[in-house]
Amino acid sequence: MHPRNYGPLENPTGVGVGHSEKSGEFVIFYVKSNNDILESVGYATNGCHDTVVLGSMFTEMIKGESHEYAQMASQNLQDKVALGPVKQQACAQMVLSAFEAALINEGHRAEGVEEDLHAIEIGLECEVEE
Amino acid sequence: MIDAVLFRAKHQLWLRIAFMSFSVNDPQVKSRLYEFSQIEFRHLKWLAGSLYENGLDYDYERDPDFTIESDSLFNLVRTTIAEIQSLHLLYVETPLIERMRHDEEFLLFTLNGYLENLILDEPLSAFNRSRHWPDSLLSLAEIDALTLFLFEELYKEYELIMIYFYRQIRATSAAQVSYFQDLIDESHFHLRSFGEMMSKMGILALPRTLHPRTYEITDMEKFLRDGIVEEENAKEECRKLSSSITDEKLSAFFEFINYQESYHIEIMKKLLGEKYG
Repeated sequence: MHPRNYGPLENPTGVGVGHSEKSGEFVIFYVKSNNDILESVGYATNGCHDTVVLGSMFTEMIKGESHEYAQMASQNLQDKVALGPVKQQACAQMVLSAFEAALINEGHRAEGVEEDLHAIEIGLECEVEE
Repeated sequence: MIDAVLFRAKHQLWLRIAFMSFSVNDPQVKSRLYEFSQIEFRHLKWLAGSLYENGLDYDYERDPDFTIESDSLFNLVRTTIAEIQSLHLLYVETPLIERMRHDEEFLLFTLNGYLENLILDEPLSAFNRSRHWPDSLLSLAEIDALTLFLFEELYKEYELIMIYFYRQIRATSAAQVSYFQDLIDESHFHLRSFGEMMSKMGILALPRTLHPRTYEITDMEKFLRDGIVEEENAKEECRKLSSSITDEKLSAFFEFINYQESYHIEIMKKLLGEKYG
């Protein structure tokens, strides 16, 4: 497997985590913005391969795009996976929550708040019986 | 200097030699390379112990360009020789490093010997993505199930080795060291088994890099309880695969792995009774 944009970024402008307290799985998302543009994005996870693939796809979709476009892409991906199995919805939620958390962290940093990362706990479980 | 840079280089070398052994066809070369990979893993353990005792940080990062893929054994051997030679530039004179250097000098001697034995330079099929199981005829659905299982579990076994390894270095009793060693040994066996199966199918690949959040466990009790659930899930995956695959040998192998997970659960329960610093 060669997921795209896998791994941390140096000097990110925002770092977010989407995690499940129950299963211990997480996605950590890194953004590096220049004005409104997401110049670089990266992620890492201890989750399943669906999560890895979704992270790879989503980071490719938003890299080099504006925040507004990325948020729209996030919503579109969420709508799309909502039609699929619950397991994939959980994986997508973990990726997208991590992205949302990274943007929140970026906002906090811009306001001068000292916060290494922002975390959002997800409601769905990845390891769902199909 | 004994530092995080040296640790990363040694971690990478362990992976390189282990995965080269999975990819090779010649049984003697395969076995000898695997033994060397285990020696490298022991070096890694001593190195991590030294770093931890001296209060120095280290991580499991790898060079972003690090790859183990090639269609020729000799190319892999040459890359490994070059990697060991650059690693030796990082070595300083300490008893620990001297021990490592001596081991690796013999490894270099062995690798150079392979290059002189031209008959060994056969093409490798470990990375050709053929997804063909050579030992029996499997349906496409069986091949798909096996592919997904192997990718998922190879990563998990690597993750487990490195988590247990991290905790073993920080163990606070001899019993913990022993329990973690059993778990590490078991996961090495699984990693090797799955790696060799992936090689046979032409889908051998490195597991992805571990983020520190994966292995820097602060709540051991929660980690062990989650781990027991995860082992139960792994048992279920093996059971499913064992019953969905019609090939008798493969099915028996996954049934065997399934029962091994029960043993892991017992060790983890013993670890639950331990105190952690």
